[in-house]
Amino acid sequence: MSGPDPSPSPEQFRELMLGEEPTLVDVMTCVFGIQPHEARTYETLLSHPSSTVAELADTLDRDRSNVNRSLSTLREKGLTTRERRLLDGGGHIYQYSPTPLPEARELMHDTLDAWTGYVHDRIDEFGE
Amino acid sequence: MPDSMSEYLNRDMQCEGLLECIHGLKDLDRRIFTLLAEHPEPLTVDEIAEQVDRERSTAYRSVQRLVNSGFVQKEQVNYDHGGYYHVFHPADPDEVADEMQRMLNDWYAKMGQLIGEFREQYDQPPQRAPAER
Repeated sequence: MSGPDPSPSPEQFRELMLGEEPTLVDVMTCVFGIQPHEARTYETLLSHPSSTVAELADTLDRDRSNVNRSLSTLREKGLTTRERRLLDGGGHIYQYSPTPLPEARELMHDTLDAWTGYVHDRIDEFGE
Repeated sequence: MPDSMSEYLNRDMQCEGLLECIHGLKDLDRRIFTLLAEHPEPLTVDEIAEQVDRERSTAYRSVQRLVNSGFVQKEQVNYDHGGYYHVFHPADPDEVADEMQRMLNDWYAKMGQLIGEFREQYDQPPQRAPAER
């Protein structure tokens, strides 16, 4: 499994700076280059680890195919893992869990540091 | 000094200009700032409106945004026989830079706190029933 993949765009950082009251979903959206509904799915997984798609769809009040797509993106970005659980009567289901928060949080801090450093440098050029 | 500032404003930056990035200034604001930076004398709102070919109220709101974000300063000119009017000139680039650094620091602190609060909220996930179909 690869770790979470930060892919912030300057455009998204700009929105983050201009937002009146940014939320964590906004920060995640920016840092990992994901959609707000995908960030909300990750947020939900933190409080509901080992959820199935059906359970998540229920909690998020969205249909399963949408939740499935969100989960694919989150897995691609390394923010979610899944485990196969065999059912007693045969067949299996997948249970999804979030990448541990400390890991995601560290990446958010690192990316925030890098961006702030970049902007500080640009401002320094301004005063010269 | 005004030259380097307007030069700066026109520079092709990744963030499409710090004015916009940090302060959310609009295109018109940038035009007015450049106008003031390149003009040898401070201008009144009426003069600004005429130069950028906009309504006085539109120009006024834009100038107000520039004043509020510290890029432009307002000066009062008194008439000899009472009464006064205002003129506007660009702020010292060093002061503007200091102000922007301060805003950036505030923003950085706010973001760091936001990420930190996330931990408190989720580090201890609530108990839930085992997964069912």
